[in-house]
Amino acid sequence: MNRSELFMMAIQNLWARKSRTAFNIFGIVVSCSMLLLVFAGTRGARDGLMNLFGQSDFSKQFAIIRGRATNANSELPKAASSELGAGISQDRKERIGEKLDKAWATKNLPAVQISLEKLDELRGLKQIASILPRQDLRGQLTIGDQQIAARATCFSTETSGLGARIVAGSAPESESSGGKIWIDEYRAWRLGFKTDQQLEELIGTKVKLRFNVAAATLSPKLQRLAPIFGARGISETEQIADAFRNLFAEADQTNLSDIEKEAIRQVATRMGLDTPKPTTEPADDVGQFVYREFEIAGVVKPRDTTATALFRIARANSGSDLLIDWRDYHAIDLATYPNRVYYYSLASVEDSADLRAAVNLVESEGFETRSALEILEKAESELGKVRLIVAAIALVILLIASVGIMNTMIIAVMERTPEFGIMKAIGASDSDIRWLMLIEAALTGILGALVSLAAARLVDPVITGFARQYIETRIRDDFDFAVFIYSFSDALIVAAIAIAICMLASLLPSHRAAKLDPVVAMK
Amino acid sequence: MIVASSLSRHYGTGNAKVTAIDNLSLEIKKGEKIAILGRSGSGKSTLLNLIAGLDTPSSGELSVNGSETAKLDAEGKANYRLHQVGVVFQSFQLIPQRNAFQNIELPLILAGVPILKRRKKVRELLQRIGLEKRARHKPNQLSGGEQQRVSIARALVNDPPVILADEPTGNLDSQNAVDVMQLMLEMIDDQNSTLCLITHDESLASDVADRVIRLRDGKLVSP
Repeated sequence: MNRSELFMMAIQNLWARKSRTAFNIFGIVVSCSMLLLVFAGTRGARDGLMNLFGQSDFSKQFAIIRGRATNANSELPKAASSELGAGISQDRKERIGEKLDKAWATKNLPAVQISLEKLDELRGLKQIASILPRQDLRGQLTIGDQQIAARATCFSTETSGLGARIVAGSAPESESSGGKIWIDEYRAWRLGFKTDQQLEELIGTKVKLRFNVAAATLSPKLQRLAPIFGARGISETEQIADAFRNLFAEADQTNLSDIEKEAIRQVATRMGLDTPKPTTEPADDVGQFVYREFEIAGVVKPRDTTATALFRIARANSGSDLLIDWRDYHAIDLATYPNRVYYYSLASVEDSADLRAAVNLVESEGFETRSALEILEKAESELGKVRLIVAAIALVILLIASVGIMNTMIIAVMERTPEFGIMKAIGASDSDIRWLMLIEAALTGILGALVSLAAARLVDPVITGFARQYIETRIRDDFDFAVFIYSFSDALIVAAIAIAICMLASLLPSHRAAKLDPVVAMK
Repeated sequence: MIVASSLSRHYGTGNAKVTAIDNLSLEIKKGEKIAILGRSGSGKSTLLNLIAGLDTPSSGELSVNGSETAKLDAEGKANYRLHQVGVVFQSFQLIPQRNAFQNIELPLILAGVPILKRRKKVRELLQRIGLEKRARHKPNQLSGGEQQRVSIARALVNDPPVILADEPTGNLDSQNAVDVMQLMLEMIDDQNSTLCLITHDESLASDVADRVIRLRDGKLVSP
């Protein structure tokens, strides 16, 4: 008897015993639809995360922070592991060893600072689309007869995305954005340019920006600490710096206590005030200020944060009053603060697929980086674990269902004993009976898998409704990605599992049926 | 055609040993119709099961159309039952989930007959037994006589050279019994098959059979 005939007969048999077939299918559906939803859900979560990531600034950006020149040859021997004696467990050895290495590197390896020259070098690296120092220039904006304090941030035409944010005026174009300035719509509103008409009139207006020239001898640390002493402006800070220098030089002649003297020495050393004041020429331009003229080229709205909602940190970078081309920024920075080192810089790549390669390149230059790659990799591995755990639970349910299926199959053999007896009496072979049972089981599995697909699609909108609500509450934004994403391969895997379970559950009963004595069976 | 020599069939062992067929020798020619008579427990059904390949002799030899069933493996026995013999049972033994058409069709499916050919043959047989309008009826929707006709059609559908009938009219009223028997004989005559009819009914045996064999305690009483 050929297999196609057996197949047809199996279909007839399943149809003839509808309620038993339905019972068996139910057992499979519960677990298979769960399995399918787990697969589709983790796929959906992964794709949602990737979409969210792909649309966010962080898919194409990463932060560069100063690092250590790990490739620098230090003459001092690395003592990290030799300092770890016996009697320390391997775990602790690794943890402490790591700290020791870091401490050794801090002491012995030169720091790789983020300077404008260094950023220019990085800019030349393959895959890097733009490199922008993330430090606002604080200055005074003169527009008409108004003078206000303002912060200017730089952008790169290639990666700014300003085109999508333009409210009035035009987007920056490569090579022609020098000397132009883009102003935040809120800042413009505060300046009195409230109506759309007024914004249009603002375009083309000449504005003047005044920046303080920092004394070259002031370290960035001192710049930041000056306000603590109540110093206002450069000259007062200089005065405080001079006071520290004098105190350091003449600490022994004062009647301060030893503790106070030591404190002064420490602070002076840390601030770089432990040496006499170098004699330098004053910076360019008039007096202590640098003046620059710009033409307002556009008004921009704040960055759209929908896709970056998960990465809240992005919001910290999105508030500045004025945007200028990075080349203008460099020129101003060089004029006001020639030796500035930056706390961090933001690098961009053209394609998010290049992010990993770009990060590796920058790290090989001795810098440290911060990117969303670690978060993504962690999220993906966590999703993998969830997928495995829930799939394991579903498989256990499937195994329990298979015991049920085996039970009903054994009962079926008992019920159908006369039928198998008759079949054997009229010429059916053992293998015909065995295969008939196995094909019936496989068909039950296929039907179960198909109904599972339908059941999963029915349950999908219900779970999606709850999940969407939950996710939107958590990220406080629209979530427009599918919670469940079905794939043909997942459906095939689930169908294969269902068929395999049903056939395994039927192995013993089918063997029993095949070995029945026809004379006894027909009685 | 059918040759049995020193055929025995015992069940159980020791004190519980029962001899159903005891050293029986028999020869039935091709196309011959024989009736096997005997009381309950005389070994009639055992003999029929042995000839049908449903049971294996304890000793002796049995050859049907040159095939020795005792020497066949499971696959060979299935093939033998499919092509060499057709069995009509007293209690019809139709599969309840399959309708009349499907019950008759089953041996053809097992024999691997192509679908169009077998459907044509089943339709012809249904017409022959007068049940063409009840083809889609399941056994429980048919009368006893109708069920037995379906059973006869199923036994004959593969044109087997030997037909074994175990009290085919035992569950039927007298009118149905006459009709069914007449139909079966006509069909057997058409195919020139050998018939082994097991019955209690002496008059039926003498009417139908060319030869009557009597069994008592598993032994042949009058050849």
